Amino acid sequence: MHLSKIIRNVSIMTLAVLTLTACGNKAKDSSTASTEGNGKVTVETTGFPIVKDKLKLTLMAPNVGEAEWKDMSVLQDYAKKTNVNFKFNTPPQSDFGTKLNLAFASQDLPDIIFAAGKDNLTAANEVTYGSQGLLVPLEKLIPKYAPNFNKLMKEDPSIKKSITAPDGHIYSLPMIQRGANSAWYLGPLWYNGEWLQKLGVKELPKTADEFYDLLKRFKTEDPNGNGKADEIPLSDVKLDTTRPWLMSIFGLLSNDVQNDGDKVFYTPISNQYKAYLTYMHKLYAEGLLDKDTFSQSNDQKKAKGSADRLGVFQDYYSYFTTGRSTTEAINDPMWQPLTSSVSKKAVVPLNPRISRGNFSITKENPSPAASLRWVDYFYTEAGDFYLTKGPAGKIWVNAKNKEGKNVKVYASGVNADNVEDKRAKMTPAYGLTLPELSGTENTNYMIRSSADAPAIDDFTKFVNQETKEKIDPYGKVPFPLIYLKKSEQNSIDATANDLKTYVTQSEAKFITGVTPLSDWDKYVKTIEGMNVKQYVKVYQAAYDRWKAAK
Amino acid sequence: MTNTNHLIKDTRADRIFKIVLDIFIILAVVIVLYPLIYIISASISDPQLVNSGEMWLLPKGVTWKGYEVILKYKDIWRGYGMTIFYTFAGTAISLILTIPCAYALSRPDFSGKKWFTTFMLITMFLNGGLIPTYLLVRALGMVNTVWAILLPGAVSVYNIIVTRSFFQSSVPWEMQEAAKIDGASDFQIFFRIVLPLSAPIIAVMALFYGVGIWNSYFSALVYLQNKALYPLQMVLRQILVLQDLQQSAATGGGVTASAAEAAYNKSALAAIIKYGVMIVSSLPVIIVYPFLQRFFVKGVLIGSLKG
Repeated sequence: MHLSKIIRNVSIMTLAVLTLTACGNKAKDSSTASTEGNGKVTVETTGFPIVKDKLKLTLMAPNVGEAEWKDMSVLQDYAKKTNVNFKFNTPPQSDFGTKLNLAFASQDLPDIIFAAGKDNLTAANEVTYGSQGLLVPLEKLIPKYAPNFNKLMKEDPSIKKSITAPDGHIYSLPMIQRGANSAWYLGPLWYNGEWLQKLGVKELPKTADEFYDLLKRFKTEDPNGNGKADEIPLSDVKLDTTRPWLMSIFGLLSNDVQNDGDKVFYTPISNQYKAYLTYMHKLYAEGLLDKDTFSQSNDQKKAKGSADRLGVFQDYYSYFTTGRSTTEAINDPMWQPLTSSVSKKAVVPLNPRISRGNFSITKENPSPAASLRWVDYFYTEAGDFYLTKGPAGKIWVNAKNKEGKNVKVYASGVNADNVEDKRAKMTPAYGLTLPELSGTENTNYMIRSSADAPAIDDFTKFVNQETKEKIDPYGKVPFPLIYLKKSEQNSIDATANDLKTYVTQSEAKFITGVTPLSDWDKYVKTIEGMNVKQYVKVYQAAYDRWKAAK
Repeated sequence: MTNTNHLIKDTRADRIFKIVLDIFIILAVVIVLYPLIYIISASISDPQLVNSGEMWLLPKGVTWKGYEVILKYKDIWRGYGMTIFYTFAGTAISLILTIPCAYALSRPDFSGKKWFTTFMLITMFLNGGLIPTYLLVRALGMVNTVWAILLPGAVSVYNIIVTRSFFQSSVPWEMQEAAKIDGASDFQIFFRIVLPLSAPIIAVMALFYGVGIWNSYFSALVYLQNKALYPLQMVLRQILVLQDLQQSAATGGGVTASAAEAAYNKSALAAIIKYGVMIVSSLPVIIVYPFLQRFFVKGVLIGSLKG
């Protein structure tokens, strides 16, 4: 290489490096500028406003795409009330996880992470980012600045156990679920009520055998009355949503770890699980379980539902699948938990009523105390009502009924059909899990169609009744909400993935008959070879910690 | 095709060959056309019939509701406007950077040629990764501006190489030397000799960059926060992904009635407009393609020969 060339190359490189460093310096300057000038913020411990001088924070939350957060009237109103203002960064819900990880990785953090949910701000995230000091520990601040949440934690000791990381810190506040559907582990199974009526079924099946007989009748007796044998007694998409219910027939609540008393075991290698596979294979082989179960999409399942071809199916409400009206949906009963030869006492999975990862404060936050005070109001019935339904005059107004009692009724132009659309535009409490005390049975906080109308409509009454009869008496939380230590997480990361894949694949193979059930021992051996012992050990340790925590 | 007037009669083998050829062409046409027709039909059919599989080729239960909703869906049209802007501005920037750069590298009398080419090639195989790139873009103050979509990735090394090879092979160096002897400056050579001879490669590059920008959503996903700047693909992605959310809302534990209801409404909306938006969003590309296609074949082939 000629000398002139070398000189030229070197000078170009120097130039490039200079340009880069120049940019670097600039970035540093701007980032320090933003943290400067935040002196001590004085926070009131009771009442509103929370701060005397206007406080401006940044908040990151998923957007469901109905409205911009800065335009939401509830948030605007609450900002006036509290004197805490926000600059919102709300990526679309579909990509929120990516954006949140990017924010953590680039340290470009908002002051508050709001309504992220357990799938985006996972338990593992809390442990990792908490230990790195990116999330602020809240347990010391809670008694003083979040008295309402503190009260809830005292009333229900499982809350504190379930949100305290192994290092003893609380990094994130949950949604606390109460009232109506909070018991649901996931949307229940529903029977097609019209078919039951047609076949003259008075009493729902109570055992696995009776259930099988009913499915058989669905298949053969043409309950939809179109003269064609196009009935599908039981359908699902990859069994994801019916599995927890169907496994419960055999005493299992999840196809992962579960605690039997204080002993943790891995369900997919238990004898009950074998019974479950055997039963499901029988249903599949006789055409009682949809042949398309492992290949169809959710849309295709729903299309079958609205064509009146399904007998038993899972959905949040039955009419989401059948396309019927709520008045008709009252005739579609909820599935009754079943017993079997291996499970003499009916049991179904129960929701822990806590949904984690919904409110975290990052190290950038100039006033964690004010932030906590800001969210704490939502952990009261009144505050939750304010958050979800807004202040008076938006979608509801005060009225007096015949007995002279104060009730809340829909504002003019608002009714049960369009109230959700209106809500979607004015509050973030639409389609997201928020840090709040969600759901209540207190009729003072229910909006009526007119002052003398009942507080809840017939459909809600029906669903509540069904839940009380068919889920509450049988429910058991499959496994408590635990945290794994970083080292524990690392020791089972690979195993967890392998197990999950292998178990779901094998499940499909056993049920469709690709693998005969005589291969069960081989299957168990393969799983044992995947280091399932360590896996169970880790969860046992985490369970013991949860159990011992106060 | 087979029964045109020939002076020499086809032999048996010829005829069989042609029949086989016809069959292959028909098969190819069916494979290409079926999904296209399916989506067009699905966009004006009752979503119910589409999902149940009753609609498999021609529209059934014709309804224009999907398009009505799309017409009124402001986000889609705003996204459309932004995408058109990104595509034109982005393509212009990319061409302005790519063509002169490739030309410089194609000149045999450019002494740093090898070094620069190697330097660029390295970036094809190694890059900083998502986070460092994000940090850089942020440090440059481009996050949440249109520049974050236009500038990072404005130049593709692969395209530079293709263009360079085109210049090397189809614009003879001797011709440029001749121009030089006649007194043309380097700029004159570039603008008056090279560019007029390079219509095919410019068209091809415009198409490469244009379609690339039209279809991209990832940089918008990473760099943009302001919804008003979202390109069309980002809006579509939201609509389509939200449909899956309904499924997870039914699966996930402890979903509130409000969340389930919201997801249910969303998925109903997505079902209606899903196929319509696919057509609306790909129509411009489909229309432009045939016009640029004749350049396309020529340009890439010549470029790739010596690539």
